Amino acid sequence: MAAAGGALTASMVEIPLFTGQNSSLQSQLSNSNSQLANLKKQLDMMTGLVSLSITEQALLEPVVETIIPTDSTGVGAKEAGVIYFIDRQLASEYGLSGNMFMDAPHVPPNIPASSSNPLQVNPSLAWAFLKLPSGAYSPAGGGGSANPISYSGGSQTFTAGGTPFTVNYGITASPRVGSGINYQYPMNMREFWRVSLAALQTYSNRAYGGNFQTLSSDNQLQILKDLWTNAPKTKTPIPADDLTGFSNIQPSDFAYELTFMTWAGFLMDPIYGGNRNMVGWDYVGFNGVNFGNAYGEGLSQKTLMVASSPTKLKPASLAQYQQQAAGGA
Amino acid sequence: MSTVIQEPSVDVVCLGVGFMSGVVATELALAGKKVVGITKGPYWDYVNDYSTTKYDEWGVGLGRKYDHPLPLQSTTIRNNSSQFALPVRRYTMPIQYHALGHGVGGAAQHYGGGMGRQGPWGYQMESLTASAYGSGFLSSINPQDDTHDWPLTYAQYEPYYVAWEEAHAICGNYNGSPTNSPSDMNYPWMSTNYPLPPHPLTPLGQLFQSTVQGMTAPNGQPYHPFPTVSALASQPYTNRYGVTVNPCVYEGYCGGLCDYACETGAKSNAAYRTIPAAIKSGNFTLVTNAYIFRLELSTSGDQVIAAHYYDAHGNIHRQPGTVFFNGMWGYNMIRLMLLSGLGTPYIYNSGLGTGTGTVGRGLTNGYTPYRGTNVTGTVNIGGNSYPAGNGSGGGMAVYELMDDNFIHSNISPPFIGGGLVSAGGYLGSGPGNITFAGGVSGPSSTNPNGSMGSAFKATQQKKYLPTKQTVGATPFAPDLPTLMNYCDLDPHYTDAYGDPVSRLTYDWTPNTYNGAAYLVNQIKTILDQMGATNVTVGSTVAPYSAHNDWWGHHLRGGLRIGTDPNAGTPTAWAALSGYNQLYLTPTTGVNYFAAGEITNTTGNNATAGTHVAGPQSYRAAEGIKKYLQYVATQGINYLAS
Amino acid sequence: MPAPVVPNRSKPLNIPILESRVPKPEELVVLSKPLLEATIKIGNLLNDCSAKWALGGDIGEILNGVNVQPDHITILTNAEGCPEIGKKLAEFQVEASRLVERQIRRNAEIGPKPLPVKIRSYESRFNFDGQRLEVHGDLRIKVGEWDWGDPLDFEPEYVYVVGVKVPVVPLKLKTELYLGLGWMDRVRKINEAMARRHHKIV
Repeated sequence: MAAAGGALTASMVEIPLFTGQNSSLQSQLSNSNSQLANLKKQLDMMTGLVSLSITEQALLEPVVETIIPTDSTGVGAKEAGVIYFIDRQLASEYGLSGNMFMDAPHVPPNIPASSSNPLQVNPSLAWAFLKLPSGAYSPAGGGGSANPISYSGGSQTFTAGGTPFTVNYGITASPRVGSGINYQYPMNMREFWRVSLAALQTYSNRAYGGNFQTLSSDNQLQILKDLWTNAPKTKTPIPADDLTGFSNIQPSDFAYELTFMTWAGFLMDPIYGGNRNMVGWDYVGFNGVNFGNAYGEGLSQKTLMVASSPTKLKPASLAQYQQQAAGGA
Repeated sequence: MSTVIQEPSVDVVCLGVGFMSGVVATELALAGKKVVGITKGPYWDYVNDYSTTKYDEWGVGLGRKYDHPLPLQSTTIRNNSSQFALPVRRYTMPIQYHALGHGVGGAAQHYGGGMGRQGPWGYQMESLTASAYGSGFLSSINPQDDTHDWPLTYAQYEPYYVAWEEAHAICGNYNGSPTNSPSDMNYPWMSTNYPLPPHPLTPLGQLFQSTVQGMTAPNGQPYHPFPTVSALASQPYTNRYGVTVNPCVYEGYCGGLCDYACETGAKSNAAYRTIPAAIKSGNFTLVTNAYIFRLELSTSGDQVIAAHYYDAHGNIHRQPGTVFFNGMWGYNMIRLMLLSGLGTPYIYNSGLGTGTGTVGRGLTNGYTPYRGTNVTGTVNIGGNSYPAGNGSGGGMAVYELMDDNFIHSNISPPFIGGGLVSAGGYLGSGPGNITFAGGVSGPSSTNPNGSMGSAFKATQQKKYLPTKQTVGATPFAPDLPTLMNYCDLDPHYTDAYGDPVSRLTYDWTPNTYNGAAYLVNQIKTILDQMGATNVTVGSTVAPYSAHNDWWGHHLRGGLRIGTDPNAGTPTAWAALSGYNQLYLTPTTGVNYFAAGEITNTTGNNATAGTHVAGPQSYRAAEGIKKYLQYVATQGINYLAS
Repeated sequence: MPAPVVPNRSKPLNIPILESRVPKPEELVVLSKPLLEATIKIGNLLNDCSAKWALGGDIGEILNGVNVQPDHITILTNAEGCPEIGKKLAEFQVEASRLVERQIRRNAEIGPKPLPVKIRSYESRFNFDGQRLEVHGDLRIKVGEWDWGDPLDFEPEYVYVVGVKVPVVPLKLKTELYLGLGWMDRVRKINEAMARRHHKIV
């Protein structure tokens, strides 16, 4: 339903020109209107997408709006421009996984213990043939052999305070979703999103009978909850030749990424494309880079930090701070 | 193959230029020695480099734009030797895993500024526990226990704490100890107070203070609260090297969950405390954007001849020196030693439950588990949870629930030590917009739609303007060294230059959560006395699994302390057990020193590790001076103190 | 010695090398050790001084982070302060307090031609292990042919020097004095120090 590329521009009200007013007031109003028009144009210049495809845009906007809906408490993800944040991130370092460690081998977490079917992984040649100054191999420092190494996990029983307890260790650890060792996919974030968004749409059609953007809001929320519980893998059979499903991705991992990036798009500095006009910050009461005097409030941090009740301040953005700083504040 | 550029030999080569090397380099440069410091990152000029761009939770917190680039070198993590260790592939919020710093200052580029001395008991955990609770007690509560005393007592380290605090502008007012005398084994008594006064107290801090002052601690004495110790300067200050320090401006982008760099130099960091004096002396050369990949050893393998590093263009440099000091991040230091063949690598035999060797041994965790046993309550004191404050001031702490300050007999399940309990830190210590209570999560019984939908959205409304606060803790007692937790080289993954990365094998020891089970009840009593409502002991957990993670950024260890020769006995001059003694003979010494978060601490706040490391660096500097004085021609007796 | 092991991969090109300029010694604000020790000693000895006093001159500025290099210590006080300080520092005194008027080395640079600057005060001198201390009571300044100014009066600000709290002449007053003398380079140094301290954070 959302038009491709279309989205909210700044909600500003045109001030109607009154006839019969004096000419100075008329020209002031005219100036204000053209200023507003310029600002709208500037914002419109920023209101575009560089990375998300047409189908991705059509899907993503209702998705993020489901996560943070427009409701009686205030604006939602759409108005905050969350998809612009996500779009820009997918086009830059986040999308390219620029600050991630992407080397092989890629071994998933949560592999259960198995002594009959252990995991066999080749060592790196660097480790296998690590030469020490003496010329010898060191078993602990390096392996001296390029044979695969076998991992089976297992249980271990300990005693502490006289009470034995058993801990079960899988072949790989079971980190929580969102922790730094959970993501082990051999794909960068842009690819992860592309594949996952397509898989989400596939699941929506298979399990709920239509594209996500056509469904009721109840079903839309349910689909996202299904991601968290990995229902697409357990409840909906994916044909073996289907490359548009969650065959290689854990739906809950995408659920995390979606939810995290939606909230980030709502609450990060507007310089990144989301949190437009700081509506997200208004909502949570965060002041951004207003240390108490960005608008001449004359408040001091030293007082605010020991107050016992909150003081609401208007937020200021990083760009505003820099402009004020450059002005010699 | 690149040509190797030969650098002129110097007296002291410092590996890494963080807190530890900052001290050693400065002490030695001011003593007239020629010192080179090598770091893989840049020199941070806080005015130029980030004073306008640091207020950026996304770039700082997640992008880690002033921090160690993960593709350069990561680490792998597993709970147990039977597992394949998974690499840390990304930074996440809250900063968790691979917490190496980058550049001059090192990890001090991203911490909240907490500091706290380890008390006397922590230095003698093995012997004091044996004398109080029996010689078999430790091994009965800690599987494959490897806990040992430090080589020096707190009293012997105390002057070095003073030097550290004077150099780094540490703020506090230690009036906690009832007697403040050296005979008090259970309190970190102080020969002189902190050089700077504490930060202003918050209303919650005041409430905590007045509450506990009227209470009786488990030891039968009243609590003695003291201001939380802070490495953020509270006043303009000139340190013992003549370096001037700016006071904190309390702008709140400090600690929290991102741990921001400090754009005024108020947050203690080698770049603004020690290194300026080293540079000013003319005896210190700083090499930046230089990645150390090997230590070259003598043919006998017991002396370090040179450090080899790549510069920013990929050329190899060879830096020889008389003495080498390793001030790198804990397990990065271990990795370099293993790659270089320095010391005996630690090898764990899981079948037998035994371990031999030294380097990599004794990994412990110094920070609270992510979803561990906890207790919370609500107090009707609001405030601005937005930029106003800093990451370590404003609160009060008590020591009575730590160390052996209460009798541990007849507590079930049994444990030793305890935790530092504090309350009242500034609400505006650091924005955590996208982390809230630990990040987004999926549907649960408390949040049927997880972090999605109107109901959850409403919980975020005005959350930076709370009219009440959740107070509580996820405490833990000391994580004890065990043979099962260690650091070695990963067999499968390499750094960007092709060398194996470090591998961390770690799981929580029972002492941590058994201690937590006791501590939450003590804290609950305090919360009740404070008039908190909805006081709930939640998530009593045992044992902690991989889900209760908070690894990496406070994992410490690898050169574990001890006094027995088989495990590596410390010299009198190195601050910690480890390398210097490994090839000891009566007439030669080893020219390699190290200091840092490389051994266990007692469950004080996380950066007690940093503070505990502080005296180590001064001790190492002293030892290096002595080494240089007596080197070669005179013969060295390292057993003499 | 054994050859170093050389990994096969070269410098990682996808990781940004951040520009790194190591500061030159003259850019770093570091007080020399002898002056530091003398300052601490003085701060301790004058701890309970009842008269108003403060560290002035270059030492007062460097303790606030201004990049200057003092070669002696200056104390400003009022007329009552001189005898009290003289008594507390008697052991180190080399010249008793007497009224001194003299021209300082640097001229005022506020007009087309430089104007001589004179100071008048109750001046006493002390020696701390080779470090010179000058105490000025009721310091007055005269620029060119204009009248003598009033004795400098101010409320001291406080800094800590390795645990000793010492009063210093407020930088605001120093800035005003320098503006009056036309010493814009000194004004700039103070501004730079304050920029390092505050970074546009109000």
